[in-house]
Amino acid sequence: MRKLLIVDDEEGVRSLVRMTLESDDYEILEARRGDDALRLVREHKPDLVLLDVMLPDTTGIDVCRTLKSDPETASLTIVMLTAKAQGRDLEEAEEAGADGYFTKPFSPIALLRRVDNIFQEQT
Amino acid sequence: MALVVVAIVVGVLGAWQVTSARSSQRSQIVNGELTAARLASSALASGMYSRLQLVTTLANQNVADLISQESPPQLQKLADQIRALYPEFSSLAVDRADGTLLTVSPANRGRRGENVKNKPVFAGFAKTKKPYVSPAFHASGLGLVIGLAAPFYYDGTKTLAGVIVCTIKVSDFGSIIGSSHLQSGGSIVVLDQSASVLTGPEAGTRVRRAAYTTVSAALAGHEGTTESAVPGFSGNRFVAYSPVKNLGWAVLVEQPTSALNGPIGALTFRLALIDLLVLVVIVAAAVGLARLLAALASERDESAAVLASVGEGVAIVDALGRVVRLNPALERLSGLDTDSAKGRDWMDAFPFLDERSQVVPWRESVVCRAIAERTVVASHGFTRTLVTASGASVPVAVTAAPLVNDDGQVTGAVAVLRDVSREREVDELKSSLVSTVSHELRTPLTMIRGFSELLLSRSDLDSARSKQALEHIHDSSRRLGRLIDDLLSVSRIESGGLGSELRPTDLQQVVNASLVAFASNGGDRVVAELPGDLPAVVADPDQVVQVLTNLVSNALKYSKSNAPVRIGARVAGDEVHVSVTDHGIGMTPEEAAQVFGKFSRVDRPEVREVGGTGLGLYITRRLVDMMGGSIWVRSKGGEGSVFTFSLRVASPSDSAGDTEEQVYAQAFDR
Repeated sequence: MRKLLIVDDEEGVRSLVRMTLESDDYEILEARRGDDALRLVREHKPDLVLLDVMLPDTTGIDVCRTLKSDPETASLTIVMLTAKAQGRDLEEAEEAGADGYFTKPFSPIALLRRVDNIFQEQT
Repeated sequence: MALVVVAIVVGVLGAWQVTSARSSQRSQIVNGELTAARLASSALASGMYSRLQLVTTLANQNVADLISQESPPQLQKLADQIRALYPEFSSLAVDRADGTLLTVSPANRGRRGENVKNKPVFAGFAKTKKPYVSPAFHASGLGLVIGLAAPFYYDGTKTLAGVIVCTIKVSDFGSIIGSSHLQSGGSIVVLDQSASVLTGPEAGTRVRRAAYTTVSAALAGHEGTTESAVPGFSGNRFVAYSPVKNLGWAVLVEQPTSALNGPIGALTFRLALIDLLVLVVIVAAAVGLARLLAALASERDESAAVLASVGEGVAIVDALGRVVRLNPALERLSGLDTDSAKGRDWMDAFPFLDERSQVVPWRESVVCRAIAERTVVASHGFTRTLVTASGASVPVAVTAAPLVNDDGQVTGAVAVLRDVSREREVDELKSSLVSTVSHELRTPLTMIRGFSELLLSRSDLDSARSKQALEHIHDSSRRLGRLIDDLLSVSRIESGGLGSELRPTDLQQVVNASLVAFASNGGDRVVAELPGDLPAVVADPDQVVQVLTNLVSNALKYSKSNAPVRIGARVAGDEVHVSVTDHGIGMTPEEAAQVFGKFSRVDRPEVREVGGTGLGLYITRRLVDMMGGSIWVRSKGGEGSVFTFSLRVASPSDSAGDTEEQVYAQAFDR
């Protein structure tokens, strides 16, 4: 069973992701804030992190950078969720080591497909 | 001023020209007179002596006859001969050497034998024994005459035989002198040795030598020229005087001083004309020059005034990039003045930083590029920052245009610096608005789209999840609606499109209406405690509802989920103060100072967690403003905030248009 962490300050978004991906194959973890996300990653070692860029305490970019620079978590697949479609955010995400991004508003079906693909590649 | 000096110089020059011309003309006149006087004097001397000599010669030929006979025909013949030559002789007589009158012309007949030893002519002759010309004397029957004594001698001897005495009437004397020696008018005055005037208007009178320096000088044997009185003429004259040798007489040649006036007048006129012309030319030139100078000065004043009145900073830079001049606006902006900036390199006086806070090199500065590229160059957007003399950073927009002279050479550049602090602020505000709004739009949109897609595509969702999805869609659409309302409110407030309909309003009613919105959403935490005797206030009830809704909504958002929110009111003078108190996160004084600004959001995690556009309190403040009230906040970080707004107590005059009953009904309608 795959573990997946969704980090977003909006309860609605987390709920949407959970409802989309919840199945026998995936275990869904949720975090509102960056510090919660880092704690959950270390505790549960998820296979994939869906990371919002705008977080109450920090930015998703910083969380991504922190995870990618830690050897223990560097191999973690991180997909950024961003409401900002501007090039600069994407550049920053890439620099921080993100493996991909999803732009809000997103299609839950497309997200499911994407997540399935990522896990298939991992195996 | 210069004009006056020129006029004075011209005037002095003219006067000097006239004076010098006058003096040269005067000396020309008097020198001419002196020449005339000399000629007249020598002509007079030789004329008299040639007469005497001739008479002597004629007498010598008939000596014996003249002496022996009483009135010989020879005498008559001699007299006729002499008269033929010199008709001016009025009488003729022969005196014997012993002084007795021998024979005379018919006029003197009867005086034969008379002793004439003491008569002026014979006596004069007797002194010198030489041909003699007497001073004027009175002769009976002839009037005033001068006498000539011509001695004659016995044949071949030096023994005096007698003297022939001729007289000339003074009144006839003028014709002897003539006026041929005078070149240009004037007249000759001859005086004898006794200062008797022989010619001219006063001929026949004797003058006092002392009265006329010219007369006394000439009679003393001197010659000269002067400007003085002349016998027989009025006023001062130009006079030349000369002695007549041997006769002891004087010749004066005079002209009126007005003689100078003709030529000098003409000269003066010509000079005046020339001076006038010169003056006209000078005046014309001066006027032209003055106009040109005035035009230049006004142009300079104008450009200086334009420079001074321009609100933007303007600098003039030479072709080498050195500062030439700053206008007052730039002096204020940069903290430099023209004196201290003049001659300094542009980049030295005005260091600019780019958007990465790096110093802009000279090559890349708009001034350098304007000069090099000969075209107007402007900095992009609000990227430039000027470091002022005091070290402060001012965002500026810089535009530079090359200065090109008539020959097409670039002589420098004009740089215009505009303080864009406000624009940059607005720009940053706009960016934050776009970012906030796009975030605030995308989040509910994400949920509406996502949950609706899930509902449509997933038939396996149970009813609980379906309901949850629908609730999310519903909340999100309401959230979008609120955002749009807020944006529209701001837009209407800003454009003045939102007005208040002020009327006496019952606050209790308004508070009740506000609380309806929170019934299912924290309303149980809100406590409204209004005094029962609260007077009506002047307000727009709908807007007061909006104000209270915003304040209560914030109070609930920023405090713990179980913390109470209290609405209170009290009368303060002619106002009612309504307050909303929470025990939430609170604010620092700095945060509180900014909280009513547009798009102002306190930059703290707790606030970001809650979400919002930063428009709510801005709208609230503007609504309170429109109702004539004010709003303020007392807050302490971690302890909570009290937002208070004031509204004016209604008076009967506020009900204009409403009947008293209606006002009464509104005020007490609970």
